[in-house]
Formats: sequence, structure tokens, C-alpha cells
Amino acid sequence: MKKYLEYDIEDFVWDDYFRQWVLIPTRESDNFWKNWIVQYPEKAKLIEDARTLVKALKVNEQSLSDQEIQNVVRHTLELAEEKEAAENFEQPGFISINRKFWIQAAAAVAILVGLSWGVKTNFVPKNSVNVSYEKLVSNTSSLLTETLNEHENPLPVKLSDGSLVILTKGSRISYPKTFSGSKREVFLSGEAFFEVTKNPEKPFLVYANGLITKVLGTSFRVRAYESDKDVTVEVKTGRVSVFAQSDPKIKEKATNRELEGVVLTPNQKIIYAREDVRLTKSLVEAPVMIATEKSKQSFEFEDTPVSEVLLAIEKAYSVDIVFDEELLANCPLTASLTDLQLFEKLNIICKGVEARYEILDGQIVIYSKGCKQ
Amino acid sequence: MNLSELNSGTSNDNLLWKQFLSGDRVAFEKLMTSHFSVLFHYGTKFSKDKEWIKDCIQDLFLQLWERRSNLSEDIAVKPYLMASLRRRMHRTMSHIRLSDDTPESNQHLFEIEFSIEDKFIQTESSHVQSQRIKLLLDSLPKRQKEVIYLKFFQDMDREQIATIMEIAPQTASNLLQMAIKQLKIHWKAEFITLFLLFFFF
Repeated sequence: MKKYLEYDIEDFVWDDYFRQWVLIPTRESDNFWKNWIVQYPEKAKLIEDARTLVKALKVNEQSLSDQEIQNVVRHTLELAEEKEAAENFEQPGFISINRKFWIQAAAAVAILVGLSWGVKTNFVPKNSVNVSYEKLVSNTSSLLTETLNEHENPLPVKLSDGSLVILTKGSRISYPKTFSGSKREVFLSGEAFFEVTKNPEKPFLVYANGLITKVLGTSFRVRAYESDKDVTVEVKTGRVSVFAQSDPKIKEKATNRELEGVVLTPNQKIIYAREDVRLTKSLVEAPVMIATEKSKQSFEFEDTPVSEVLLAIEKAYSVDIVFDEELLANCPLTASLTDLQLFEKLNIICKGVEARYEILDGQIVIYSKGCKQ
Repeated sequence: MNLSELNSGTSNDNLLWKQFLSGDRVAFEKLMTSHFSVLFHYGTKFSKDKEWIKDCIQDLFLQLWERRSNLSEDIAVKPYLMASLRRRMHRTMSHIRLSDDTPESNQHLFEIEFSIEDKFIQTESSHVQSQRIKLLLDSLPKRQKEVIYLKFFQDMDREQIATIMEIAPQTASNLLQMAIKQLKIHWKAEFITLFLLFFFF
């Protein structure tokens, strides 16, 4: 083996055959290297140094006890058995919504968005379904885990897909230990903030007092107390679609493209009036800037047309502001708005140019007569 | 006994795999137990969240169990499991990152900590050499680090590395060659400098 004569220490360290001998010697390799050293005794020191390096070089690994391994393995086996047992049961009608449904629902949502979507709920029978938390949970075929927050402090609950639920005091949530099938479904009673791990192939659904909130991956808050007349959903990031779950024939309705769905974007909220099954879109109480815009935005304006100021706000908060651009382009504004809440900003702007604003259908509408120069 | 030592080689793996495919729960349990450490340690290179990694491994095996009738008998078990875990973790993580609007530039995740075990180091020159080698390894690009890890610390061949990293075998060879070349070039140049520094300061 002449080639080894040319070798320097690093050549040995990264040589397969050499490493194998150091780490897992066989009789064959041991003979080979011992003979080689006898043949070239001047290389003995080099070989010894290279051996030391190969042996000493390690990868730091996190420790993991046998107990931990066994726990996970045992749990996995249990789940596998549960799943097999569950396959013998039929899914109840309204829960087993298939994939096709989502495509159609998405199409339906796409059609409905852009249209005004005020009170189009006449297809929903008023008193037809039992959508209470207890009913929903007991109707589900998969095994659910329930977490109840009995403490004052909000309780974080981690779901198997990595999603995080922060449960408000007195609220409870039921969820499967692992999400199987094509959807991730959880059931909420009370109030919680959700941060959902993105997975477009597996929509995440929150069932809460008759309102279904469907997301692909985003963060939002649902408030659905049994005792309240309304259910509200507030969006922090991403897009969320909501619809009423008031019909046992929700599947057929979906096929007919009659399903009502409303898409919410950041800082919007929906109020679902349970009794008259009505959805109203609005803005959250204190809209926040979306994360990516926060760092680069400055709200210091000097003689800036109000139209530009409003456009900057629109972008930063990802909200729709409706105003007459031409009219407001002639209104200069000098103001320092950086540390103010959205509505405070709007108040100052409106005062400055003698305008007023209103929240309509999740949008901000600015009324102004323009400015006389 | 360390559970990872149960894993007594490829032929045993293949036997367990076949038994598992035929619905043998005991084989399934053994398969999972014996590969758990390797998979977990590989997982820690992509995330620091211990519990999440365990969840991913659990989901991986649950899915294997459910789909066992559709799986092939002839696979190399360890690389197959590593590839599946890697894919699973990356899929979920890329979703997380999409929602955070993080730029795609640092797509490739691979955090590894090389270390030198002191008990083997007895001479000053060994000490210098080993620190040097650690620095060189640490300065490699992430993809090259991953190749080095799979090749030298997980004993994978070029085809297996390619399967795991979802790249062409030729790409795997290239990455490996680049890495080794870099380790050697730098070694020659910088070793002398460091050696001198060590003795004169």
C-alpha cells in the first residue's frame, strides 16, 4: 500500500479504511495496519496521532434516557392500537367531511368574498342542531384529550402538530393526541388564542358553539362561552375562514356551493350571533401592526399628503381603508404617530384634516370633504 | 445497557422490518426502540425542541404502522427512517417558516456540535491538532457538515446519503469531496500558523 506513504495526518483522519480500523477493527484490518507500521516504522508516530484524532473526535449529542425512549415507544404502540380499534367505528355525519368538501368550500368562500355578505343566512335552520361542546365531543369517533384551565393564568397547551393553544381561565379544549386523517379538529368551550402550525394539506378546524373556524396555519383568538350570545374570532396573522355549523346536511350544502364562508385577514374579527345565526365582520379592538412591517415603519410625517399616510397605515396593519385618494392628496399632515394605536392614529389624522372615520364590514371608511388650500 | 446498542446491524434490521410488515407488533416495537436514539440525535440537528422531535418520531412510526401493507420489503432500514424523519421535520418547519415570512435564504438547517473527548488527548501536539480539526469542521457550510456527519458518524455510503438528503448521488459525492478538500487545504495552511502561535505566545 504505497499510497499511504504520501499521507499526512489529515489524510489518515478522513480515510475510510483507516477510520474503520481505528473504530471497528477486524482481524484483517488489524493485520494490515500492524504490518504497515512494521514496514514503515518512521510513520508510527503519525499513525498514532491520527488514531488519537479519530478516536477523540465526537459529535455532541443530547442525552436521552432509555426510560424516555420506552415511554414514547409504549405510547406509540397504544396509539397504533387505538387507531385500529377506531377504524371499526363509523364517523358521524357532520364530522366526516372529506377532502373534496374543502375544495368546494374553498371555492364557495372565494365566490362569497368580494360580495357583500351581510345576512345571507336564510338557508340555515335555526334550531336544528346540537352544536354544544359536550355534544360535539361525544359525537367524535376519535379519542380526545381534554384540557381544562382551572387557574387564573392562561394555560398553554401544545398539540401534536406543534400548534399552540393558550387557554383562558375556565375554558376547555378537546383534541386528539395525534391528528390522523385529512383534518385537524379541536373543540373549544370558552376562550383561547391559537397559533396553528402551517399545513395546507391538513386544515385546522376549531368547533366552538356552532361556529367553525378553518385555518391552514395562522394565529387567532376564539371566544365562545356557553353563556354568551356571541362567538367572536379575532385574527392576528394569516387568513382564517369561518362559517356556521348549523346544519346536519352541511356536506350537501357544501356540494351545492351554498356554504357561507367568510375570510378574515389580520386585525379583523367576526362576531357570530348564535340566536339569529348572523355573522358580522369588524376590526379588533386594538389592531397591531403585522410583524414584518413593524421594524421598517416610521410614522413620522411632515407635510405628507394624508392619502400617503393612510396608505402607509393600510400596509402596516394589513387593513382596508376606504377613502377618496384624490381628495385627500391635497391635505398635508404633520404628525408624529409612531407610538400610537391604530385608532389613536386615525383620530389624530381625522382631527388634522376635519374628517371622520367609521368601521364598516371590517374596513375603515374615511369621510372627508377635502381640504381648502 | 444503552438501547442504541440493540441495533446489531443491517441484517437484523431487515429481518425486523419484514416481521413488522407482516404485522408483528414485537418486531415493530424493537425496530422503533433500536432506532430511536439515532433518529432523535439526527432530529436534534434540525431543531432544539426535544419534545417536538420525539413527537415527529412517534408520528413517523405510527404512519409506518398504518401503511405497512404498502411498504417495500427491500429497503435499507436506517437510511429510510432517517430520510423519512428528515422529510417530515423539514415539511413542518418550512410551513412554520412560511407563516413567519422568513426569507428562504437559510433554507438548509443543520446545527451540529463537534467535540474532542479529552481522555484520548495526551500530548500537546494532539491537543493542538484536535482543536484545529474541530475548528475546521465547525467552519464548513451546513450541507457539507451534514454529509460529513452521515458519512463518518452514521456510516452511510454515497447512495444512502443521497437518499437521506434527497439529492443526486453525484451531488452527495461532490459535497463530500468538497468538504474533505476544504478540511485538508485549510489544515495545511492554518495548522502551521496555529502551531507557531501556540508555541510562541
